[in-house]
Amino acid sequence: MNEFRVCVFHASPTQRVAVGEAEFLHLVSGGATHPVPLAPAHCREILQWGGEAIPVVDLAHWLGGDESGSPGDYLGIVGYQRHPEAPFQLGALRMARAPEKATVSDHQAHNSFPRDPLWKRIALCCYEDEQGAVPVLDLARVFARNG
Amino acid sequence: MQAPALRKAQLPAQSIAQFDGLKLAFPRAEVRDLASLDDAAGLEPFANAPGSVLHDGVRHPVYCLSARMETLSHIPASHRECVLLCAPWGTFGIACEKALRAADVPSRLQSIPECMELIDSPLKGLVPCEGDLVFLTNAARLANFLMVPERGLPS
Repeated sequence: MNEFRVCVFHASPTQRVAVGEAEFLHLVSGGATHPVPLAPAHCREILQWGGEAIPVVDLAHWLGGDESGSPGDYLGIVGYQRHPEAPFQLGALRMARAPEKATVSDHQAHNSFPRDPLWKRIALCCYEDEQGAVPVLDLARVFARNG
Repeated sequence: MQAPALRKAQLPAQSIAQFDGLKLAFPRAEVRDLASLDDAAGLEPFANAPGSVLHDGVRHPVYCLSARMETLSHIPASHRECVLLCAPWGTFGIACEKALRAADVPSRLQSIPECMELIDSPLKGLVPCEGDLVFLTNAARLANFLMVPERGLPS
């Protein structure tokens, strides 16, 4: 049986998502971000980190969350490649809480995504644990033009 | 990282317009002048713009943007300076709180991350500068942006 390690966090008050443990690089609490005019509503902040300007994606907002709610205080820095030979790129995901690590095995594979159609665009696959279905993000798609 | 998106050369001299926390940089070669809007005529609508400025005997329209790059139908009292830009098809101004000339910027030009980039955005890059971000544009891109009717340019 195959097992893989993930970092799980809340994309919204009711929806958890995961990224591969190796993709999760760093957690920033209360990091100052800069607004970017004309950017899509779910992705309109930049975090300066290690000399790089990193786009911040707010999944809660992308999932249609309440705009008046305060955004999550944590920023998870993630690294990804568009394909195996491509350079690593950085992005940040806004989170309400620090992520937790988990080990997932093949038998937890879940055949369908949660109801929101967004998951089919930005998730690689989905697994299930005792609390419900957890989409695993395809970070290259999350940080692609037009998501 | 993101090697194709970065340029390590210094940025050539820019003129920077600051308003509502947003900093827009223009190539110095496209800036005809940094002008004042203190003159009452500066607040008179002109050619669909909420203000105007007289330069070398010719009046040019002055547009005003919010920090979210929304066109404003009036020029706030705080915006009393203007960057006068030379686009291929004419001269126009952008009202701002502060207009300044910056020497060569010893910082890397970075592209706008692709997930943030809209097709018709006039922003073509950014430069981290003193803990802040300066967005690069140019006169032609900004003129195109201002002229799109859906932008709600005041009439």
